[in-house]
Amino acid sequence: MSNGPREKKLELAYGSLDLLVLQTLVWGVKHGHGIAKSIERTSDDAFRVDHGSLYPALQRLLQEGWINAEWGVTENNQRAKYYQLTVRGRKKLAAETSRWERFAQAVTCVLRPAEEGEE
Amino acid sequence: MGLGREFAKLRRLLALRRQDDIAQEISIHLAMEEQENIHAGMPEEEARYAALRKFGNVTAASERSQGMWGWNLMEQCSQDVRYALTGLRRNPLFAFSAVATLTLGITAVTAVFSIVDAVLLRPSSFVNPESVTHIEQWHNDQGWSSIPPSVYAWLRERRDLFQEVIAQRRGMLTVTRAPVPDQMFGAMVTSNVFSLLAAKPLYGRTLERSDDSASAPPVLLLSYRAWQQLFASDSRVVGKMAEVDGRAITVIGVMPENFLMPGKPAELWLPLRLTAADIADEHAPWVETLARLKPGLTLKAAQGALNALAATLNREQQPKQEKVRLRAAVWQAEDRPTRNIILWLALGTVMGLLAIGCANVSSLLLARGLSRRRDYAIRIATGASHGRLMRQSFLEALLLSFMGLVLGLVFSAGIVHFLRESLNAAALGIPDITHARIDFRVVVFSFVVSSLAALLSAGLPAWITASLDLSAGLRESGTQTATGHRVRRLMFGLTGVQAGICMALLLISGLLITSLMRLKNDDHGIRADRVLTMRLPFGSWFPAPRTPEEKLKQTRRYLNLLDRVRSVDGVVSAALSSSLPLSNVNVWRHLRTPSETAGADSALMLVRTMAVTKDYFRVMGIPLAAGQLFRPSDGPAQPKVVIINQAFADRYFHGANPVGRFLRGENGSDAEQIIGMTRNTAQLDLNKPAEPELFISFDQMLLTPFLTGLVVRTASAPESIAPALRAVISQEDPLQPVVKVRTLRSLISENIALSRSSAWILSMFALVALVLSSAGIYGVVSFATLARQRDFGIRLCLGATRGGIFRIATLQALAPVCIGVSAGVGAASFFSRAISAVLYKAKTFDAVPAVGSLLVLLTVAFTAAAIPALRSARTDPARTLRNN
Repeated sequence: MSNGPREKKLELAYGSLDLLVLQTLVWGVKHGHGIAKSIERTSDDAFRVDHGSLYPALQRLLQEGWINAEWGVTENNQRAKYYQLTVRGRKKLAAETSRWERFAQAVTCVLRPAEEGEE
Repeated sequence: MGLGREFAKLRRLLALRRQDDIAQEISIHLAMEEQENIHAGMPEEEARYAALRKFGNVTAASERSQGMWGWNLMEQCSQDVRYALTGLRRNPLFAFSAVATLTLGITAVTAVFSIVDAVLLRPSSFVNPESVTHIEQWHNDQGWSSIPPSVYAWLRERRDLFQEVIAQRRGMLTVTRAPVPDQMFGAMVTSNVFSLLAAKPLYGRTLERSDDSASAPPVLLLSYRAWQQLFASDSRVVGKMAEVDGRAITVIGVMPENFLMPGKPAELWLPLRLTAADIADEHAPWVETLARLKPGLTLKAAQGALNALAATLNREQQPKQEKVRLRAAVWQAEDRPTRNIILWLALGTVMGLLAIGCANVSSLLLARGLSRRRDYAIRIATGASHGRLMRQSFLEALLLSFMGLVLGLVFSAGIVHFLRESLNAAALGIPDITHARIDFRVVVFSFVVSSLAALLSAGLPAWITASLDLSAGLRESGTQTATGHRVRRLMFGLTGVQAGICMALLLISGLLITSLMRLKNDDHGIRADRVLTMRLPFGSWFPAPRTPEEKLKQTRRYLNLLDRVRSVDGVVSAALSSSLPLSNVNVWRHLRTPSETAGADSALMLVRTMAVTKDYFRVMGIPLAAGQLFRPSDGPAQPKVVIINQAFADRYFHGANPVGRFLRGENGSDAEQIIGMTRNTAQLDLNKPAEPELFISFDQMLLTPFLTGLVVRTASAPESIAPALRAVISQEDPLQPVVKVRTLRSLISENIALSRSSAWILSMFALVALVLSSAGIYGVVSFATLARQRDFGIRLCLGATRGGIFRIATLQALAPVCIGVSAGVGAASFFSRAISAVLYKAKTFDAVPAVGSLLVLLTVAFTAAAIPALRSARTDPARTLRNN
């Protein structure tokens, strides 16, 4: 039933989930569920992200030292772990973003050379 | 130790806390999502499922998050080991057959490798063997060989080129006045051999510089084997006296067991003692020379210096003499191709055996993997990764093969110990086998081999089970599922490989057996029963100049001895010969090639030569092919006459009747008439084709008195007459040594020892291979056929006949075996060419072993397929389908 639309969603390229998580944290601390929702919303549901795959990614980022984590309490008085971007994480994100943009541009150029020429 | 444990505890605590944290986080996440769904208006239960669906596999997520922190890997591994052990314990039959198969293979490989390592790969006893060169001179008639002492003296002075230059002369030495008198191969060497080899003695001392002086007392150094045989391992042998070639000599030391002299193994060492007179003498006997290059000097530079020397020598000598050519060659150990081929062949065979064992274990694992498909599917669904499942399969195989390795090392150590201690090494035909040890190198080799075996056995099954469509594993049940096409093809492929290797091993060992049988049953041109042989040496290999009068006196003495021997009761006939057949020494004579030989006008030839008394042919049972034997009238004063063998006539007379022709000596004079021709007969090695051979009359020429043999045909058992013969000889001449008393039968048996042991050992391996691969093929084929029952049921329902089903099943099993067998025949014929040097009159495969092994393999495959196929063809297809 829900299989139909789901299959049209994009599989995330390896490593791009890290980038999305870092980007989500630019606007402030968030807990796991918040990050998941935020990725869903900002990407207009285009990506197929199992919420479960978020947690290994978060552990990886913690290990790299790009994010910090702390237990806190939500507005609904629920205990949750909050993640925060570190200085190194911010630098990493900047570097990765520009790399990603160049990469995406290059791929687009290759895929649509004719249009490029007309402009 | 304690700290390590504390650290491990802390680590476990930290890991547990992290695990807890992640689990909590995930459950909070799920709760939040559920809450959100409820807000969006979903019923409570559906809200929870929707959250779970969105999250994906909870266990996998939590474990993978955990896995981001390195510790986990080790934990998983120890878990996997425990899991594998439990699995093996639950299935002891599987574990036992896999470990037993691998143990068998690894034991065989380890034992054979330890011998190959000791005999063929043993690092040279030289320090820096690559800097040791053999200095040789060219001789038109015998190729590169020894050099005159004057050239040795020149080399010795060239300190700018060589660090150390040694000279030696080797030959047979007769040791008497020892507890067990005998003849052994020995060498007269310059004392610096031992400093060149940096060798230390077991007892006493080695040769020293002072021993090189001509005025020093005569001394003798023993090898370990000579010490054992001549002196019965007497630990107080140093300082004792013995006689070598009739000269009194003092034993100064014993070399350790592992000391191996380069080249043909000498057992005795005497100082060479080259005097200034020897060096000045143009006709002094030549010496073999080894030289160690100065560090940094290349072989090319040494060769340049030798060329310059050769040019000088050529200017000085008369023009008609042979041009002097010298060369420096990289020194190499004496090659024994027969033994080497046999050893490599044995190693290849046990590798093949191990490969068959691996294929067996592989199919066992494959079958086990398939039957656990359901289990795998469940574990994947509950969060195990494919990688981890594959790792577990490998671990299981590694565990199996390491059990095999440990057991294999124990067993092979036992086998090698047995070969070394309890078995007569001569009976195997490989005396160096006493050096075989299960040492570090061998253990490392076996470790690598068994790891490879584990990879080989586990690789395919792990890959196949992991790549199977696992959801199918859940839908279907047990082993009765239609195992995919690919798996079945793979399993049949394994049977083909096994059949191929097995066939090749059987054919090769069949060839060796055929060769052995021919070797044993051939008469080799002699009548071997009831003949006693012995040596009655006189004088020395290193000859003192002998006058014709002295020679005549010796000949007369020997003929006199022979007369006394003839008078002994039980002697049917007796003869003297200048050397014995089936010994390890050849005597050659230079002659002019007969003018009848095409294209080789008056060139020199080297011919194996024996001087024999006239009854020699009768005693040995050598039949005459043409002409006649020596007559009593062929005395020392009469014209010289010779008898040749068939091979001589074939090579030099091209089938023309040689009787009545003349042969000429080196200098062209001394015509010797050929009066007879014998059939080819046993020479040094029964395995080799007969070479041209020349017999001269013992009465007319004393050839090599230090090798003189006595052959006696007896009326009863030949051993029983030995004491009487000894008594008569010592009565006639108390100083005459009598050594190497053997029956002709035992000489033959020693001569074919290597052929015999290799044929039996390799056939034993091949039979084990047949048993292993039959078991493997049976197991695989019956498993794969059983797995098709459902498929057969469907076919029957759709109208296939029972005969058709039966045909499909059996053909499918027979085809890979046939393909494998033909590949095996191809491989065997390839290898049989490579080992043709060790085969005696066995060039093509014998039909009996070939067809026999083919039938066994095909029958096994056929039966394995036929039984389950018949059963499924007989049962009601509906029932088959219902049951599966």
